[in-house]
Amino acid sequence: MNAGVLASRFTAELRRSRSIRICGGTLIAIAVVSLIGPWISPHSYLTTDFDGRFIKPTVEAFHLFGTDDLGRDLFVRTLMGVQVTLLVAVVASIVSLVIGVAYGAVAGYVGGRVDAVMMRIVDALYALPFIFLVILLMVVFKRNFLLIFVAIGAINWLDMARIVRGQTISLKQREFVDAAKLIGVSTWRIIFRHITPNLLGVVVVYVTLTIPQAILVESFLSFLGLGVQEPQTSLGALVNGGVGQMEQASWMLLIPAVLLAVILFCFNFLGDGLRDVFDPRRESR
Amino acid sequence: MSLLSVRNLNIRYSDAPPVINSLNFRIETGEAVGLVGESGSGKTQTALAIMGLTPDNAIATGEIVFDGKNLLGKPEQVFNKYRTRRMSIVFQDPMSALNPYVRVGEQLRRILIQHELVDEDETDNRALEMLQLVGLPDAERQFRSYPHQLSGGMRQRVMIAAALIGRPELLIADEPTTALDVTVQAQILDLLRQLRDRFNTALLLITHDLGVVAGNCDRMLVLKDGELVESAPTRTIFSAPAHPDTQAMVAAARRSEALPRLLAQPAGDRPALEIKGLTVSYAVPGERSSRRKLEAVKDLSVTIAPGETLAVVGESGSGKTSVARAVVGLKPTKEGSMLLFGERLEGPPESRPNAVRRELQMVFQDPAGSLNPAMRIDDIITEPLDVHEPDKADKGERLAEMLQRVGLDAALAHRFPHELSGGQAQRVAIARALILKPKILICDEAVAALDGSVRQEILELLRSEQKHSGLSMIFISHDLATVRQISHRVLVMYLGRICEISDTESLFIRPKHPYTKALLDAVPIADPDVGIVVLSELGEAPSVMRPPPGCVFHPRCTYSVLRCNDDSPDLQVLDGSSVACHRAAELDL
Repeated sequence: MNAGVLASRFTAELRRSRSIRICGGTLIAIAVVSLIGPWISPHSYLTTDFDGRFIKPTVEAFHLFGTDDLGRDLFVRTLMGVQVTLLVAVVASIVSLVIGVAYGAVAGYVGGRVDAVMMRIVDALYALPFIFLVILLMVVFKRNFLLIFVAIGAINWLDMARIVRGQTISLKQREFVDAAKLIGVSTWRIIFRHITPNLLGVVVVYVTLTIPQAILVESFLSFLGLGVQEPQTSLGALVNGGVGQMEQASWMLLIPAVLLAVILFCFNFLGDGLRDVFDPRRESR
Repeated sequence: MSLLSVRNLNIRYSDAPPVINSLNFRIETGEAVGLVGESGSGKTQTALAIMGLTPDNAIATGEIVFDGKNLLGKPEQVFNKYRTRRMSIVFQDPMSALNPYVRVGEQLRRILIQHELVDEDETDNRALEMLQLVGLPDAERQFRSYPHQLSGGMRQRVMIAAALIGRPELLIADEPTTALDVTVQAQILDLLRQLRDRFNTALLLITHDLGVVAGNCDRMLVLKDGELVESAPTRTIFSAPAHPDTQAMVAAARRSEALPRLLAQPAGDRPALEIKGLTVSYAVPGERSSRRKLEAVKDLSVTIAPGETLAVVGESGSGKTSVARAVVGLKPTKEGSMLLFGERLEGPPESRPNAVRRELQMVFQDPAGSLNPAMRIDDIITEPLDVHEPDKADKGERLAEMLQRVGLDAALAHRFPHELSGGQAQRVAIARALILKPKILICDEAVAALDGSVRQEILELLRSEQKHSGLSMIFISHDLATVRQISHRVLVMYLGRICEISDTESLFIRPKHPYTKALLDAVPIADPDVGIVVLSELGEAPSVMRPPPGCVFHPRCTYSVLRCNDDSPDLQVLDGSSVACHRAAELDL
């Protein structure tokens, strides 16, 4: 599928599919607010105020989401957390996308022994307990922010590589690949010009489904205290902080937890909607 | 009162133009009616509506009256009282209509139980009896087989058994033989005739092939874009078609029998392509230990002159596609040599020199599948230029010239393949193959997926391209009528071996191999007055995996003698043809 076809199909689908409209819209709104919010708010994400601890959500003094146990404004911190969470998720997905598509397309197209070796490597990596590995890395590298991206991306590309390989194998048996070979198109050109564009649909759908996965892994790490470091924060870290105070300040847990749930929900439904757009069977309609 | 009467039927999907537009027709008890039209004319939609299988998103209005009761729009429960007991349907593809996980006999039993047709303890007997009735060989054993263990023809027999098990009064057959070989098609049509006589079942036979209707139906309905354009007795339609579209269809069907042949004359004495002793074999999956090989093509030799068209015909599994793929390098060859103007062809296309690759191009069967769905038409057609002549600046002009030559509107250049019709897509594939001015074009069932009139146009295009540039063609087809129109010589293959190589006219007038004769006899003739050629008990082709000893055709051959059982015949020259048959000289076929 090509950009032109996609664009026209996408707009058509947008008109029809409510799930894409609502979930896409919500995600865009959340992202925009998380970028603009901190500029509007008079508070900073790291200023502590020991006279104003545990303020309930209120419009007064613009503590929209209240304050935490150190008196920091939770509205700004939550938006900050959303930014970090989305950034981690998107970057991690791009890492997994690039590695996974290149690896899977080459393995699938070349086939034979190369494919066998490449896929056994993937199998071996699957066997490693990745969360455990990530925890070790975090300890060794002192919770480097960048490392989180790499670690999460490194988990996700395995699935992507398998999916892309499977698709490539079915694509390379199509007659248009035979036709390209007869014309004299080189193997690399076949992979990148004939195979990869036709993978786009599956890949885009899969990415929208890996983003929530990456968000969950990041939240999980942060919840364990291994993710983003204070005073920086993410939704997972905020939930972690909220759990400790949930009896006296329930909003500290509820607000980031609900936001996290909404974001995950939206990505999953967006993935469903996009799958409809990219489903080749719809071409005939 | 008619058995079935369709009155003012309209079917549409949302805002699109209607697929069926005020359709009216009747079917009397025991009558055979043919419903013909090109693809997209609404034939299948009509059948589905009668059976109550119209998709939920369709809007259907009008009346479908079966035995005095209007069924259109009635709920499933009402239809279920009619299905199987009173009307049934046989679909085109038996493999997708049968449940792959359930044994054949069990599938028939379930129908009997579902519709409470016989007592529970009698279902086995009744199902087996039905399988015997449809002529399934070795029915007791096949009763316990799974659908994938049966051949295409046997599966279609099972489908017919399933459809007729409730002794319905109306049988709808939707392209029942389109997916089958001609020889098998003739047998299935014969079976339908016998069963209809026996049960006095009315038949609605849906087909695009006028030859199939001619021998089987009393009356014909011609559909065009969802409208009934003509309805008359079969004889009348063939002798005096009233509507222009019907006239064109009948003319096209007749043309394929006796045609004015306007072929370019082959020129030059040096062969364009010389194939010597070609053998193509596959490793049989799952039998690696014994190293068993399937020989799809065995010891095939043939030459093609410049400007000549050689047709390769045979049933499925005869190895004709393997020959094509071996020549272009998509299948590794085991033995033999291929020379293109004296230059050896070896290895996969990737390893062949560019100069050789551009001489040899191929057009595939499925026009949509051979075009990259992610590329625009202009990019698809000019890709060969990007690869072979990246420095030349005349790409745009050559694209325009090519589009014009294959009869495509220049406005289509910016479209994507899925926006094109089958005929247009095949023109694009031909344009891509011809833009490098190859010396040899291989067409692998290139017109098989196209409708009658579009098929004629594409054949015309290929003929004029041959005149224009003097290219040679290998034209692979299972359809003898098409072959007669386009080829100078015909090579008949059976189980990977050559049966006969002959000039087209003498092959059709006087076939010299019994298999050629059987193939010719099996083609349905688009003329109701010719009557039905009753076929000898030809049976189905044996598996390529276990070719019979001796002459491979002897188990199916009516003329076989003792010698044929163990002595494989060599090709011998007879009246300018080459024939592989011991009795070729004595037989008068």
